Amino acid sequence: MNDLGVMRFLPIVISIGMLVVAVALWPSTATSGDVSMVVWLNITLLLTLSAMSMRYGVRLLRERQERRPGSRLRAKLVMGLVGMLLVPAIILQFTASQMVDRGLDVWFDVRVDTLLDRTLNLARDFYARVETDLKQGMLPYMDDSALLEVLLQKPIDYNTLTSRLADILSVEGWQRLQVFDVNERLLAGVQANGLSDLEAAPLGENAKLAVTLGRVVTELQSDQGREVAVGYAPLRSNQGVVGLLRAEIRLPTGAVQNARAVESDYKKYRELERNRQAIRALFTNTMLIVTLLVVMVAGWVALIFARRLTAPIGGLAEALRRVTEGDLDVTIKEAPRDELGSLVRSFNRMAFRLRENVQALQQTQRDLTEALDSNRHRRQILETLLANLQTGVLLVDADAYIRLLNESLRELLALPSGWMVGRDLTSLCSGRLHAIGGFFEELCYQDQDHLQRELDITVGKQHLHILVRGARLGTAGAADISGYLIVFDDVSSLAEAQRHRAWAEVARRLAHEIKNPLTPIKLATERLQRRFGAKVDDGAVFDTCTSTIIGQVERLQRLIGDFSMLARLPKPRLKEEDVRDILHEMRDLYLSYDRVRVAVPDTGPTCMCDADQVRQVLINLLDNALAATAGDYAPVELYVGQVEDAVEFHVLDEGEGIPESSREHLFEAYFSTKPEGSGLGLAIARRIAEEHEGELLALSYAHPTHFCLRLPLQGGNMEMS
Amino acid sequence: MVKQLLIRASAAALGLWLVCVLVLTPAYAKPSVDLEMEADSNLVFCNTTLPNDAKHIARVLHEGTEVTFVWEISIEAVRRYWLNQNVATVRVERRVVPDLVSQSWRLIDVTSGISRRVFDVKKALAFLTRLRRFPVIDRSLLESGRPYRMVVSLEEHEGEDRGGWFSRLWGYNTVEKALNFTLP
Repeated sequence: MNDLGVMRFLPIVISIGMLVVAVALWPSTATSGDVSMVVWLNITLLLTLSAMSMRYGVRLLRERQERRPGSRLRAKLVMGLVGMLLVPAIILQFTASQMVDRGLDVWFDVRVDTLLDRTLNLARDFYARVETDLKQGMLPYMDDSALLEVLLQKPIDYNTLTSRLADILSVEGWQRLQVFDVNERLLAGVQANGLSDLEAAPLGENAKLAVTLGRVVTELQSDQGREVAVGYAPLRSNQGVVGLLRAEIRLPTGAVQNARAVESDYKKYRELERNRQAIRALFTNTMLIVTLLVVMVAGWVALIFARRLTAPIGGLAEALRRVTEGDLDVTIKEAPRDELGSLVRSFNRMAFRLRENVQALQQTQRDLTEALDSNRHRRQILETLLANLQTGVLLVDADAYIRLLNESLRELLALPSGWMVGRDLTSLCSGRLHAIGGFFEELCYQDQDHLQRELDITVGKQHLHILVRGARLGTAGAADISGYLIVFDDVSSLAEAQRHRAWAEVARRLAHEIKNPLTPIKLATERLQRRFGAKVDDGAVFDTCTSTIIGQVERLQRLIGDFSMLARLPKPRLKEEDVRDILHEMRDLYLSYDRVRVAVPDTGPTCMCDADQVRQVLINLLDNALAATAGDYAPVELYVGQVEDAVEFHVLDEGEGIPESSREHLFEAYFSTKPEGSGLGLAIARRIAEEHEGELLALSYAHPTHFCLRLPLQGGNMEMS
Repeated sequence: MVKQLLIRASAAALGLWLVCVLVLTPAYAKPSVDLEMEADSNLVFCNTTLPNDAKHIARVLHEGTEVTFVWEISIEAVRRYWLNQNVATVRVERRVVPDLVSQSWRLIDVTSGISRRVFDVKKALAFLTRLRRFPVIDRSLLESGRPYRMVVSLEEHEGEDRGGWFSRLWGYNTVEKALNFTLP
């Protein structure tokens, strides 16, 4: 249970209570008229209130799970206010009901009842007394001889009759006295107030009754607000009834009024008494209507009051909840002009400032994020650059710890696995990498910001010539980055190219300087051989010496020719050549060597190449193969193949193969295993292949010894002749 | 738990309502009249009596309150798929005016204007609560073999001021009875 506790069920209990009261009030068929209408109005009000209370109770129970801001306070206020009104209202209703009951008891008291009965009886007695007196008064005249005598006379003496009637009237004190014959015809009449109101009134049933019964019959008649007691007495003679005497006594006005007033009051009293329950119901229900209306209005007012009171609090609570959840775009619009309104305005100011601060923070965060993203982007670019850079890059901080090491450097120097970011560079530079440590020390302790050195570092079986350049970054202890950037470039190829260029220049100059005297020497020696061969004593020695001179000169000429070739290898002049033509030429060239087998395909590809240079390469390869197989007379094979966008010339021989020690230097210039070789054949052949943007490969070094010249079909990016 | 509570509360409210409608309402059963139809070769008569309310009426008359009975007798031709067709309506208004002082009761037939005084309340009661061979309609206006419905409604007014506030406060009783008949 929460703080509302069982109070949360109060509306439902009230609702059920009202429903029970409505059932208790349910009208019977005996209830009708306006009372019924009042009861139905009450039932309607009760059911309405019950439904409203039930709805409110259900809402309270729902809000127990989904708490709305301010709802509990509002519920407490409403229930408190309604309770404050409901309890007195119930007490008032109960008291009023009791008072009505008591009032009715007093009103319809037995004594009043008896009093009214007696009063009515008095009135009745008065009337009865008048009638009795009239009857008794008229009874002697039924046999009045004077009257009978006159009535029996023919003709009737009206004066005598009237005189007799006047005597009787004066004796009895009646107000009117009339005599009728048996045919109900007025014979004579007298009255106390003269002739003013003397006229014949029609006889009623009682007159006939009196004649029929032969006795006095009385009745009461009303006339213009006056009441009279009328008596009928038959006049009897020996011959029977000869007439009818009618006498009137006017009842005293005061007595009549009192009697009728008593009758009227009695009627009303009895009527009210009969409707006593209805009166009680009417009072109770009317009171209940008032109570219910008051409760309804009070509840409505309480609800409005509570809502107005709690709305700002609810708004504040809701706004605070949203602020707690991070939604700062909150403004409470309704602000009453009281302390709550002041609180609301203060909250709005606070929320506004919070919103501003958060916006500023968010802007800062966005700036930082953008900067970070930019930095990250730059770093990614740098990393990509470093990763794709062929140059090795090493970044070392002021304490000689590696901060950055790119993959190119790792591959270039085949660095051990210990080389990684965060390691001390000086401890890693040992063995073959000792030179790097020396370079770093020199870079650290020198005065200049830059240092450049060329280092020879052995990587595997290769000796790389590395150009190392170092730069000092910032100063130690500064806020920005400080340390050293060292860049490694493999300049082995460049050095080799420079060396080749130098050698070529030397060779060109040597060839130029040596080639010129060689021809005269050779010619002079041949001349000496021809002219003095027969004249010298020891001709054999002479021939041997001159032949040696000529042979060595020729060898020098070939050597110089090769030098010249290497130094001045012309650019290949590409054109589309049929490979089969080249193979036919080779077969024809080596036709005398029956162990050379050249396989010419029926249909062959064409490729863009310089046919002369290709032929030179193939001749070099075939010559080498023949030289290698000269002893055991092993076969040499030349064939061609096509792989994707390249054509391959394969030369195989089954010779002893190439010694392992020579394989590494096979394509180096001036390296030869033959005593008379210049060591330039394969170097020139590889250069020709490279000039064609192809390659010359040693696929197998023995059994068979297999070389492959691969040329692109389209001639690469070379210019066509 | 809230759902169960709501269901229980709704069920209780529905139960109370059903008690009201099904139990209490029939308990307040209305009084009824006895109704008979009689016909001769010329007229159709109505015999009707209010048997249950005589004691109450006698008390009212003894206590001096004027009582008026308004009888309304209708003859309707029964129609199966539509409202019945009204053929004739007769209205009879009878009033008894007590005189407590003389202990007599004046019987007034308001419709005809005839009145007489009786000194026996039973006669007054009979005058009010019974209609014997009361002619309702000429037989020639009805068809033989066709179903008809005779409807008798009675308004029982107490007091002199029938339309007045005080009288309206208590209202009046109404009774209705219907009888189906077919003339041979």
